[in-house]
Amino acid sequence: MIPVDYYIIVSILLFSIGSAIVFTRRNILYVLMGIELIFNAANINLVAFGQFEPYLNGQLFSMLVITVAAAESVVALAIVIVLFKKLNTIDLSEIKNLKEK
Amino acid sequence: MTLIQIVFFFFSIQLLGSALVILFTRNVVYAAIALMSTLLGVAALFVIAGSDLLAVVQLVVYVGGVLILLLFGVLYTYRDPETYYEKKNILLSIATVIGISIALLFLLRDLAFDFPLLHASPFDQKGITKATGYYWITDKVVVFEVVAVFLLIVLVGAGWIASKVLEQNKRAQ
Repeated sequence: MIPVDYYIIVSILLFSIGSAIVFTRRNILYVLMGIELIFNAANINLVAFGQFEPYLNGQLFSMLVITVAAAESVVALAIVIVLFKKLNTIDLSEIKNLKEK
Repeated sequence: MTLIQIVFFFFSIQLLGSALVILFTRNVVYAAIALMSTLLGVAALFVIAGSDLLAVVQLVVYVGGVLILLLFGVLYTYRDPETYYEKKNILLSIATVIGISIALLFLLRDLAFDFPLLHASPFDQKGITKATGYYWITDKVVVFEVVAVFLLIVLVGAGWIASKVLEQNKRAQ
């Protein structure tokens, strides 16, 4: 039996790597991958705590998180396609249409 | 150290190592492959935690769906690497990782997780996947219906957004 603390440490490290990707990378696709990593870190926590609960509600909630992550990825990909068609770039530092002149 | 702990550490190191590859690589395709490795590692952790059904869902949804979608995005938005050069700030990345993880571990230090360690761990129980499936599809079926409608709305909406812009582009040309 693995103690819960190990799962939490792995999840913390995964979360920090994911947020570092979101904060520092410029390409929008890397940012999407970082968001997926953060979702997975949350899922690890839910499953690790949910194994003590006889009705497995943690796993059910984790399943919801997975589906919402899939939906988020679909919408984000649609937005990426629109951005690339309109502005011909996926670099977040080059997209400044809303910036005040 | 028991065998299950060795397996756990192996998969955690694989998972975190490939996550670091995503953080530091310059090639988007390498990053997508590393993301696949990370997701497989997470699925292995789910199996160790006794939720086999969720591991299968993880494989189907993430590795089969989201990753292919991301690869499509990579190919669609391809740019010549010689004209597009992403500036990297390695020091800032390392500082962010270390800072956030140390802050969260510092928070963890004060929490004591005195959960009762089950002697018969969940992955030893026979037929837990079957029981989980029955429980979810009978008692919790409303949740799945809500998720199904939500996914339908999202898919139709995403296709509508993308196709509208593509048609406008075609008309403009």
